[in-house]
Amino acid sequence: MTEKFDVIIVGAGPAGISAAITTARAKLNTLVIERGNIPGEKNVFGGVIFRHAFEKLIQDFVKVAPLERKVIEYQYWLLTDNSCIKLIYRDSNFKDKPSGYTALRAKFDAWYAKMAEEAGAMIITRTSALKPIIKDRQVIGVETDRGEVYANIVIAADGVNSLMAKHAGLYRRRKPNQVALGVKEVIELHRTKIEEIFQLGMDEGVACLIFGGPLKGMTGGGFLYTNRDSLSLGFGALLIDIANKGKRPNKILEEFKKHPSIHPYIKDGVLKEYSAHLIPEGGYDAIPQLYTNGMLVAGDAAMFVNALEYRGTDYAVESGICAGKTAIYAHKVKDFSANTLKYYRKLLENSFVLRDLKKFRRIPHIIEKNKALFDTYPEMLRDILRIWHTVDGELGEVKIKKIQREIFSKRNPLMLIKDVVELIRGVIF
Amino acid sequence: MHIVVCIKQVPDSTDMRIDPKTNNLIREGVPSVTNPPDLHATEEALKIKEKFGGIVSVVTMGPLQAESSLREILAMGADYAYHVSDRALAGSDTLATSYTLWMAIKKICEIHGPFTFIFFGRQAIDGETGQTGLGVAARFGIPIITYTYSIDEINLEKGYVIATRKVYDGKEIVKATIPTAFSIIEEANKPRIPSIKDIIKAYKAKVIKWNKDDLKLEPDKIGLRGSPTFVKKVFPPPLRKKGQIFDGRGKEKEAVVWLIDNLLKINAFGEKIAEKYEEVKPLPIAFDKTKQFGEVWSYVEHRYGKANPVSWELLGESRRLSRLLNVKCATVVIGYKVEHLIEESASYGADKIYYIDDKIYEDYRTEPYSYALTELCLKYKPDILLMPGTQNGRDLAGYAATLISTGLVADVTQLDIDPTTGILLATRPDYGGNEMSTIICPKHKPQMCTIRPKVFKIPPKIQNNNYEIIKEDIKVPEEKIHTELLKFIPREKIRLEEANVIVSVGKGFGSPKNLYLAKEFAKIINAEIGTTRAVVYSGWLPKEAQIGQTGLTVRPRLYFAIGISGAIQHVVGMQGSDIIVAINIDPEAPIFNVADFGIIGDLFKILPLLTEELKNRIKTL
Repeated sequence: MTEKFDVIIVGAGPAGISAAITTARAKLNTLVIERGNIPGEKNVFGGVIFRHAFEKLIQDFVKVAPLERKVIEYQYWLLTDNSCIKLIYRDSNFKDKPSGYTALRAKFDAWYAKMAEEAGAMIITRTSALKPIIKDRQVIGVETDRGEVYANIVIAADGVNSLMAKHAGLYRRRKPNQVALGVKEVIELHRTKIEEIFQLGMDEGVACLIFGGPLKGMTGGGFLYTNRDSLSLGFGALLIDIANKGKRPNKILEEFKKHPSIHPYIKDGVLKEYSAHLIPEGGYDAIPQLYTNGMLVAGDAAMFVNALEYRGTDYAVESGICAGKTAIYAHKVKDFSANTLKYYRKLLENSFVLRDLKKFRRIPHIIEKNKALFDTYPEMLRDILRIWHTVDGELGEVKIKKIQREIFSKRNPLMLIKDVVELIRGVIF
Repeated sequence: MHIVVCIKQVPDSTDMRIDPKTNNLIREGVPSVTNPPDLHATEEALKIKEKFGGIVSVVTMGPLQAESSLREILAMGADYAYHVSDRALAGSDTLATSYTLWMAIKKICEIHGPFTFIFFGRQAIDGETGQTGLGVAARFGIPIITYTYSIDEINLEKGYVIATRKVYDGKEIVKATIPTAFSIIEEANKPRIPSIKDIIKAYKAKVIKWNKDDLKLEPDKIGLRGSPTFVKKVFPPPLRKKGQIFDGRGKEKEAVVWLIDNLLKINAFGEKIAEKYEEVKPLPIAFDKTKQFGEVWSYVEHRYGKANPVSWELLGESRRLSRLLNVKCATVVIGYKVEHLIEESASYGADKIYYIDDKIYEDYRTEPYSYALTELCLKYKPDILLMPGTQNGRDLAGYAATLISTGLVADVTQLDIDPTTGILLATRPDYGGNEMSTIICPKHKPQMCTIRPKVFKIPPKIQNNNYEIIKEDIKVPEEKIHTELLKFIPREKIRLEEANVIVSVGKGFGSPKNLYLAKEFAKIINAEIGTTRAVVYSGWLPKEAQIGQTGLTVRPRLYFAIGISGAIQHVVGMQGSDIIVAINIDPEAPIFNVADFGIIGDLFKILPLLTEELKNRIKTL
């Protein structure tokens, strides 16, 4: 007796669970297969959870979800070896209407998965999905390390290294400039200390995005987020850049932690968790085929990450919902071929997922071509500020000339203009 | 055929971490798993079901989340699952747990018919007592074969089963009547991995839940109230003192001499024998007229009259405790033609010897020994009874403690008397030694413990002319005894766990051809060879020699780690050694963090020198 499901979802992360909640609530017989011991065990992010996507599925999301702190302040740090320029943006608007909350994945994902079970989905853990079962060019099930299961629709939400999408021929390989390697530590620090350092109330938090410094020469950025009683600290950089740098990621992280601007925050903390993960970075142009006969691809598996905004989780949720809706539609019309499943793409094109990725599709290319943004400019800014703030009696006109020289020596006027134009084009057009 | 399997859901203690600041175990966020030994018990039950037909029911006593473990067993192939869960059961020790499971199994049998067998895992990886199965069997009055390696013959018509059990000194082939209980060791089989179909089926299966009222459990027999023992305090294990490291690079001879000098100074190669008897003064509470302290007893384990030295380790402690309480210490000798053990007991310091000698006690068997020990305890009411933590010692202790209805603490490594109450403080390691707990049994007598072998020193022999012999004629009719020892096969060579000195070799040796260096060294000092997983995986040495998380745990007097880096997975298997010596070329090797003495240097230079030097020294000793 082979057990057949309506929908099998591979991966119990945000994309998979969102799809599961959607299909289970529509009374489709739903199975989720997760390779970890518990959902969330294999998942890593910075990170901040943006509530809007989850609120489509869960009422009172911010009240019931295990979230850490609501983000009321953003900091942008530009580091060089010996200096730090910070732009701090705090807005009391976010105290009442926060968009994002810091979170810890093991806790959050485990809770989120329970929502799917409550909706009626079956979740099986400790089981790895190896590849889709394909018959007559139709995906009809999943081959796991414990045997085969069958379904009308398979939703591949198995992360950036999606074996399911790969074996279904939806992509050949991720290029090393299309993925970043993220390395992260969770460092325990007493809650009152965090609140003191960052001037925060009990449930308020800060998100710091960090560039330059030890990350010099690599396309990427670091982060420091405040959790309830810990800090999430880490960085992500294009895999190809880390490889070229010739340094092991943990060594880079060590340097990162030792940087005079970062070290004071964590020196009294205790390392609780160390993790690493690949992150989709390629943007719109790295997206694989999103569907085929009998299968849909969602979340990181579909490379749905907006690196510019450090957003991946809400994209995963939204795409999971779209995948779920597509599965429901397919069951209504009783057709599971690509012809029906293209509805998925339609839904995505109408949502922020594809629209935003398309809008910002040039950003990954611009940034990759202009690594200068990550080291030249921080240094230039530092030098300008340094010249300006060194008050030793030097004449003003001398100082201004120095500043001018500084700017143009590092980047000639044409390049400067080009940089600005490119950035504008990438973001606005 | 109806087999009942008892399981437990436990924190995954192989995955436990220590908080580096407080040295305490981190309990939160630790995932729960089905006690791995129970999977082996289940596999054994399923193998029998496949052969004979019938059904397998699985039962657990545990909180709501334990249901997932029941489903795991259903997925493996069990037919019915029963979950006993109730807040009132919290805090149950093994006596209360065996009572609860006994009542649950009785009810299961009302539904599915009487059981043929009850299976248990060897022990739970959290409590690590191995006592619950014995308690359940004692309550049913059925034989139990603990540490079962294989079930060799099942004869349902004639109503008997033959099984092989593995104990420290060899193998016992035992015949028992049906119904029978078993505890299965992990070596017995490889548990099947359920297919996804099985998991799906089990996901949807019905699990019957029972609370204390469904089973009509008596409130003073369950939970904290029904537990004679409870944990008084929990604390991190003592940190190992920092070792001395000698940089032997370029000065190999000097390093070797330094090491040997140090080792000989502390009698590293010798048995743990105390030099002299430490006279101990009684505690003030011993003279408290309102308290009447009974004697302190220790059990003498023997095989056909040859005493297991652990008995004397126990006697040494027993004597010390008895002096603290100002009472007499006694040994319990049960056997056939074992009179000589009386004098041996006296020579190690016993004030009294309780002696039972009869043919029915010729072979060690759970039932007659338990009945005899129980009768002795009920008649003479000792305060404390120390049992050896060997397989048969734990077997006897678990069964007898249930018959006596008293508390039993397992695997104790430290004993004290509470000066304010006179109660025994029994300290033991939890979670593989990651944490220590002190347990007391304040209201029941005797306070029983099984003691971990080779922790306490063997006391020196004394001139003892002042001892009393109490001969008891306790007999158990053969009809009441359900087991028979068919054959005892002594082990061929010493097990690594029993070795006094171990020379352990790592990948640093480069190739199996070089292992002879270690073997020569081991021969000189009469040591056994141990090794790491990496070496076993490379095929240089067999799995039996593997020490570590997925191998053996050893506690020798002296452990040489040569060419071993000291990864944590290896260290957890040997960190209980008294003295650890490390030889490694890499000064950063983590093994130096646990070594008492270390030499940084090339083992190919040092080992031959060490062997040579020791040869000379032994000649002159």
